[in-house]
Order: sequence, then structure tokens, then C-alpha cells
Amino acid sequence: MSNKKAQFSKQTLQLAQKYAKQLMQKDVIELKSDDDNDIKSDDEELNIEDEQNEQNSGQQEDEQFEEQQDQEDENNVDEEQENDDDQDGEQDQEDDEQNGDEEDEEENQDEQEIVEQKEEPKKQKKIKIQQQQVEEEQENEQNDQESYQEEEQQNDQLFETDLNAIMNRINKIIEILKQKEYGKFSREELLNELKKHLCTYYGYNSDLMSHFSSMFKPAELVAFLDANDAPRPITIRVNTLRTRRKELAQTLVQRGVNLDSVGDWTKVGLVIFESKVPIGATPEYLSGHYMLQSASSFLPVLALAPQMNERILDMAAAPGGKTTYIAQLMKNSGVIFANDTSKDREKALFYNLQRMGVTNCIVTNYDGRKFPKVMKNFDRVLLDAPCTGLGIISKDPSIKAQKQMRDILKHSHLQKELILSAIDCCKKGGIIVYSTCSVSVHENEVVLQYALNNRHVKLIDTGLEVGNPGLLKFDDKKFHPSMNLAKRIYPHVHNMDGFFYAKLKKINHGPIKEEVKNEPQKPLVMTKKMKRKEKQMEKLRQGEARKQQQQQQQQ
Amino acid sequence: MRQLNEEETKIFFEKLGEYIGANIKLLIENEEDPHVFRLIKNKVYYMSLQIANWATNVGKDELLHVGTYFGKFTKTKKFRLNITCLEILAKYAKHKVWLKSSGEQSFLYGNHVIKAHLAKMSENIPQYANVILFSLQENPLGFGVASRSTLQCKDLDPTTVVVFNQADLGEYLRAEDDKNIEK
Repeated sequence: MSNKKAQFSKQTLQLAQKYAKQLMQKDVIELKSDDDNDIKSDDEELNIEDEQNEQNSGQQEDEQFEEQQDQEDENNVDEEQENDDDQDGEQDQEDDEQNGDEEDEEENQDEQEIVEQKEEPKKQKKIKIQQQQVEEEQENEQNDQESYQEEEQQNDQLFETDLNAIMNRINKIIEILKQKEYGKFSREELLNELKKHLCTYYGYNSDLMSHFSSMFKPAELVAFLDANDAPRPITIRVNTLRTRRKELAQTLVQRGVNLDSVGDWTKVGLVIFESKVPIGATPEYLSGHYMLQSASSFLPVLALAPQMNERILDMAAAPGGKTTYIAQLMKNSGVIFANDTSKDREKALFYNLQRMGVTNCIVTNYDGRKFPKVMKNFDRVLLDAPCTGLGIISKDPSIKAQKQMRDILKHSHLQKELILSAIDCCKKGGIIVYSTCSVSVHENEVVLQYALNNRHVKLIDTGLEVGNPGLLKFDDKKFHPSMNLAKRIYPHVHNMDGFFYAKLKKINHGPIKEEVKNEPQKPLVMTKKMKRKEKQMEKLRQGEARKQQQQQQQQ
Repeated sequence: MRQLNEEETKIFFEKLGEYIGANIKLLIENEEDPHVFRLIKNKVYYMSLQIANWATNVGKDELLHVGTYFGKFTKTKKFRLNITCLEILAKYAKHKVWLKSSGEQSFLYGNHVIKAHLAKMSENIPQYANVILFSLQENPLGFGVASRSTLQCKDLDPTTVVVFNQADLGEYLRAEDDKNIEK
């Protein structure tokens, strides 16, 4: 300790020299007022010893001061060496140079020391106080068993520039969260920090990030965000009105395209791995033999399962990928009403229909909410609702920064209105398929629950195995037990664009006027957890029944 | 949406006749599934009668397109054919021209067809007749006008233009805003 004091005293003296020179050059009043403020704030910090560890701002100031001292140490070391070398100090002293430090001698320094000590006692006090603080904090840091604080202090400086440091921090927090004890910090604090780092690393706004973190666990969240930064493979859908998958595959391979079928669940999908020619400009594309379409978009049409000679409504048809698929499944029989609100996108819808050779389509330009007044009793209705597109962030990264909770809620409101219209347009016993390219809950399960509450419809099995089951509860909301028949697609699980689709069957016309009775129905798809819980409940019931019997026997 | 009146029908069928000749009958007179032409704001569409009846339920401001688009009437009552009706007309084409694969690419970019790209053409094509172009795999590629008759084409240099490009499938990519393939 004594050695430390001796070192500091030399440093302080040299610091005092610097201050003296500054004073000589600048106004005296300004410097003194600044010092007074600093001294007062330092006194306050001294008194609050226990909270020093949590006052990051105070620590940062002291760290900066430490850095300054370190730098000055280096400077002073150099100066001392140069001072030892110099012997002609008296002549140099007379010079009033700004860079006079290097030419002063130790003997003259002693004389100056005494003078300066008398002139500026306050500054030395301030410096000493700061030194004492630094000593205390160093002891505290050494006593701390967790390396959390130290790393944070180091990382705070790095974070603005070093993404690797942020990633390491993210991984560490995830590991900590997996354990049961978090030490000093609550789960909330750790999660908040994690969200903040994820926002900076991946480039999301905080609104969106808190929504995602309420949907996924931390490790899954990182996988989801990673998947959003990588592109999904390009897929095409073969137009069976003009060609067959085998023939098209052969011709494309001859043109130098590397492809494969998408999966067992579709007979018309092809994945493009590599292509020498632009896949959206081949003569086959222009002849309408195939269409560029993401694999997720096949799903709602497959769930709809349109049959020959039916009357189908596609409420939000542009740009026409799903409409053309419906037409090819119906083999141009029956009639399809392809409706879209936006007049800008109807051109794209028109071109796609003409190019793919669809002849049974009527393109209309109504607001979907007003369609029941135009025509009703469709055999099937497809509603691919306008959404925030949170599942296709890999195609459009601007969504990360732009979309907020209020956009999600706005779309949710519109989707609720549209789904009621879609149900009203449908015949009794008809099918409605609802789909979005978003993974948020407000645009999916919430909208379906609204439909179930307000119309006589029920959820039925989609008939496809692709996808995770829909959520049964989220935050404070609980959904109908059949909600797990809806399907969710995630980019990090299925390697397709994020998607949601559900199949509804209309039981009766008209709205539900009476109150819906909350009957505890069994969900149709039982997971392992549910089965275990049921067994437990049964055991409890049996136990209670036995107790009652015993009581009765005693009586 | 309305039916075509006599004058319009005359002009329209004359134009169609240049490509498919007397086969126009086959377009309309189909007893099992009668198809009709209808006019939506000076644009001619081809659809089955059933669909035409369904479309009457839609308001005239909201009805945009029905069935297959053939083309439109200009202000001076001339008819311009569009590439979208290619698949239907190609079935009944009177004069056909087949292109080699090298010529296919060039034609789809919008260029005229030169002798070197010509694979074969049907016999007795008069000069300046309207033709329909095909690839060697019998895929229709577009519409054109023969610059020379079949007999004359045999003696030409490889670089002379044989068929003028009127409409080709590449227009689906080129026309991003307005689809103005006026021929």
C-alpha cells in the first residue's frame, strides 16, 4: 500500500504540473468551477459504497479516469527517463513552452512541487479521492466471484464495434438461462439484456424482438433469427395444364438447371439448386409451363382441395400463384372468382392467369369485406390474408426495422373482418381455408378464435402433415382446443418461408348471437404431455374416490 | 360486359381470319361447351358461356378480366391482337413457321427472324401473310408476318429477314407497366 501511495504521489505531482500550465494559459475561473463540481460528485459517490457496483455510469467514469491515468503513466514513464537524461534543466525552465515536460529536471520539479501544492490544494484532493475510489473498486472487483461485471465493463466498450463480442455474450446468456440459478440477476434482467443484444446483432426493432421472444425460447429464438437472415431455396410449381413434372424436369436439366423434387407431400413442386440460365426467363416459363412459387404457398391450396366443376372464391388473389394452382387442380373446369382490392397488383394477377393458360377465372376488384353482398354460397373459399409478412423476413429484410406491434394489430383487425366475410360467402357445409405468411399469433390463432366465436364454423384437419400444430395458448390468451389442427411453418424447422394455414368447415349460416358455452372439449391431437397430465388427473380422481369410499365405510 | 355488335364482330373476325382462316367456326361453334366473345371496355375476352353468365353478377366497375384476353379495339375501331391468345389460336393456325433453338432465343428477345434461324415453314405461305411461330418441340412462340413467300425464302441469304416479329412470349417479361403489344 505504501509503495502504491508513493507512485501515486509522483503522478499527482506531474498531473499538477500539467494543470498549472493549463492555468497559466487559460482562464482561472473556468477551471476552478469545473473542479468544484467534480469534487462534490466524487464525495457523493464515496458515501454510497454498496450501490457503486450497480452504478455503471460511475464505474465508467472511473474507468475512463483509470485509462487516463494509465495513459499518463506511460507518458510520465517516458518523461522520467528523458528527465534523467537531461542535465541542463535550469535553462529550459525559463522557456515557457507548452511541451516543456520533456525538458524539466527533477531538481526544478521539487521547487515547483512546493509552489504548486500551495496553489492548488483542491485539485490534489480531488485526485486523491478518485485514487481512493479506484482502489476500492479494484478490491471489489477482485472479490467478486462472478466475472459478469468485468466482462460487461470490457464488452461495453467493444459492443459498438465488435459483433463477435455480442454473439459471445448472447450465447453466454442462453447458457445461463438454461440453468436454474441465475446468481445475482433475475431472469427478467437477463432476458432484457438478451433482447437488446439480439436487436443490435440481427438488426430488429425492439417491439418486434419482444414479440418474437414471447413466442420462442431463447435458443430457438436465435435459430429462428439466423434462419431469417439466410435465403430459402428457390422452388417452382409445375403447371399441369401445359406439361408434366417429368417432362419439365428433363427440359430444364437440358438447359443446365440443377433441380430436385420438393418432397413427398407434393407432386408438382421442384427445388432449384443451381441454374445456368435465369429460371424466371426460360422459354418454358414464358410458355406457362411452371411458376416461381415458394413451397409454403402450395399448402393452403392443397388443404382447400378444390374439385372439378366447383365454384371457388379466392379473396386476396394477387399476384395469382395460388389462384393458378387452384385452376390447374380443377383442370380449368367450374369457375374461380379471383378478387383483389388493389388495382396495382391486378395486372400481375392478370398476366399470370393468361400466361399459365387459365380460362375459368373471373377477376374482380372488390374490397373483400364487401364480397358477401355480391355473391354467396361458394363451394370453397380461400383467404390468403394480407399480413405483416413476418415469415418472409429472409426475402425482405426491411421488415425487421419497419414493422411494429401496431402494424401487427392493424392487420389483425383487417383479417378478422375478412375472415367473417369469407365465412359469409361460403355455402353451408363448405370449406374455408385461412392462411398468412406471418408467424405472429395475433394474425393467426387470434383471428381464428374470433371466427370461432362469431360464426358457426369448426376447425377440421387440413389433411397435410407438413407443419407444427397451432398454439393452444399464448401470453394471457387461451384458444379453442381444436386450434392445434391449424398448422405453423417455421423457417428454422421446415426450411420453408414462415407460414400459417387452417381449414374451417361451415356448419350454419349467420352469426352466433347466444353466448358461447366454454365446454372443456378434448383436443383432437393429443401430445405426450397432454396424455401424461390426463393420467395424473385420473389417478387423483381415483384417489379421491377411494377416500370418499373409506369415509363412507367408516360411517 | 356486353356482346360484340355487328361492326365490331366483322372487324375482329377479319383479323382472326388472317391467322386461322376458316377455323374461326371451331372457336365459337362448340356444342358441348359453347364459348363466346365479350367486350369489357373495348377489350375482347374469350370465355365459356357458363362463365359469361356468372360474370354478369359482378358490377361493371369491379369486373376486370374474364377468361382469355384476345386484344382490344382502338379509338379508330381497329383491332389489335395480343400475345395472350396465342395458345388458343396456335391450335388452329393456318400458316406455321418453325424455328431452330438458336432462333428461338433471338425471337423471344423481340428480334425479327432471319433465314439462319428458320427450321421449316408450311407450304404456300403468300408474302405478307400472318403466321404463327413454333419451336421444334411444337411450343407456340408468337405471331409474325412473313416477309417473303415460301418459294422465295428458299433462295435467300442466311442474314435476310424472313418473318417480322409482331408478338412474342418474351413480352410477358418486357412489358412491366402497360401491356401494349399492338399489332
